[in-house]
Amino acid sequence: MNEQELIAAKKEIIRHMVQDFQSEIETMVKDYHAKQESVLEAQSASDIENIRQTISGQ
Amino acid sequence: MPEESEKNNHPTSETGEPTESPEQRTEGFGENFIAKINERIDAFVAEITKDIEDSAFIAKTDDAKKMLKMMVARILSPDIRDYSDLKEILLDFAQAHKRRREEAGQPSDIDPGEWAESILAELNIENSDHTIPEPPVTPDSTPQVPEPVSDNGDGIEPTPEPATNSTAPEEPPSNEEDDETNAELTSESMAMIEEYIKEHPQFTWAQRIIAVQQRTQDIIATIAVKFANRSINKLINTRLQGSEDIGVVKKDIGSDNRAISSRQREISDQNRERFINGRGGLIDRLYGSRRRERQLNQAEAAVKKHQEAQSRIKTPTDEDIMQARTVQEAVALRSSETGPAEELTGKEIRRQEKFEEQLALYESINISQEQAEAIYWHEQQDRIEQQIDFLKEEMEVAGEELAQSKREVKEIEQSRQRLKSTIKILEKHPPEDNRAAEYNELVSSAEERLQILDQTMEVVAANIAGQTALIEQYRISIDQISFIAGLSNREPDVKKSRKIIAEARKNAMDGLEDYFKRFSADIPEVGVGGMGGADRTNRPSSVFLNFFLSTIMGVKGKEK
Repeated sequence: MNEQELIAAKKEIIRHMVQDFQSEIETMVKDYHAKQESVLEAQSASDIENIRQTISGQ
Repeated sequence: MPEESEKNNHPTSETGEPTESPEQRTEGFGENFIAKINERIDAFVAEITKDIEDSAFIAKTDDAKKMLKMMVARILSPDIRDYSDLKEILLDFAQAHKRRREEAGQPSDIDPGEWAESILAELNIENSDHTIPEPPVTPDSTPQVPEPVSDNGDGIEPTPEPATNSTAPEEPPSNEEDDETNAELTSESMAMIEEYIKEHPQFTWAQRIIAVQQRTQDIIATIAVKFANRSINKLINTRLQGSEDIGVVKKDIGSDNRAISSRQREISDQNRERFINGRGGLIDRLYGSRRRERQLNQAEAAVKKHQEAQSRIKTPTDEDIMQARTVQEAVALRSSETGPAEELTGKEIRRQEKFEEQLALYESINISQEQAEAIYWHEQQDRIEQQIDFLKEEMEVAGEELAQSKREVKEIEQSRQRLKSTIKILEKHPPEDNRAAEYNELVSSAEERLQILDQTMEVVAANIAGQTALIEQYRISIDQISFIAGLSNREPDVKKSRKIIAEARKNAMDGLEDYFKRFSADIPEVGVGGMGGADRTNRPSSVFLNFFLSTIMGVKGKEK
């Protein structure tokens, strides 16, 4: 393996690494937002239920 | 990740950022290659996490970022030169990635070794010949790795930002309305993106992707705002509906109240009519014979309780004071022969006999007169304290009875007021001429009951006065006994007496030891049980031993 081939191989491996890293971080961000969304939905549902109970006098 | 940094021999800064020396760089890479790669990594992470303020999440992404930078620095090292070196780095990278997924609760089923080999195979790098052909990747064949913007002058293609599906609009909540809105927004956004690309044909793929990403972010923000607005509208509508519901309920309650008032007036009219017509009898229904009987029974019980309490009052002047007298007074009583025996009461005679018996016992075990007095005084003090406790309990009971009497007074007063009101009502509604006799009878009956209540009230009031006096008497008794016992001002005497008792115990032990020595030949074993049948003429009686062990020695049972 000559030096030029080695450089090309390293560049490709770095490209793979960066690409995988980006995919991983994007997945993490997506999961985080989905989780936050579900928490907000649950809170909203809870607020509405509390209001209903308050109105109905329970 | 720390594990990776340990395997990496490159030095790192305090923040975990890799540092490198010129000789550690692989020749052929530009001077700023690592700096540019790191800059791109930082820019990407900063952009994608710009809306997240969760410190724990930021820390996770930072860890991943630092690990990647270390890997890049490591792979560029001149030491990495063949298949096994490259595979080792890829293996470490895959293992770190898998570990992070597991920590996030989303384990990956990818095998790090297989993955590393697959990457090398994809690059046509084989273990056998170590030959590395030209990378097959071209921008056209791999849309996720588009053409570079430029080579930045370092001869290295910078890693472009790949377009991924992760930046697509978020899925809205799963109900029909939300689905429709999302579809509408998605379609709208796609149209906007296509239009944007058509309007900017001169842009490179990377520029288009970046622009599309920014546009997508804007669309996501628009969706989020619309969702938030719709949620707020739902909340407002719910509140409005609730307000309307409350209004309806209030109207219903008002209607019910009016119906109840009407029914009350109707019942009141019916009662008046029934009374006027002589049917039933308002007074009898309100204050029936059973209630009157119960009130009289309560009053009678209160009087009885008061009388019983009066009979339980103990005057401390005679008996209690006698009980509190010191032994010296009892001795004086005995020695002075103040009067013939027949003039003493039975209790006094028994007390005197008991004292003489105890004194004889004390003398038999070498307890001095002073010590015997102290012991006797100590016993008497205990008895007085018990007497005070008893009086306090009695006073507490009397206090409860007083409170009950006061409650009865309140009830009777309320009954009187109601009865007076009833009489007024009767007077305001004079009867017809043919009902005059019946009317007068009812009024007389009401007045008679009012008189009974007044009498009951007087009885209860007398009861209260008696209970109050009883409590005062208890308090006086307690004060007197406390004074006699010297509980309040004779504490030094108590200490002195305890000291004397301690000395007496020691003397008693010595005396008892001598005593046992004298009669040891006749005593099979030492103990309360064994001494029970001893000869009363020359051996300690069981009474004495019980007294000695329990009072002086402070022990009980068969202890020696």
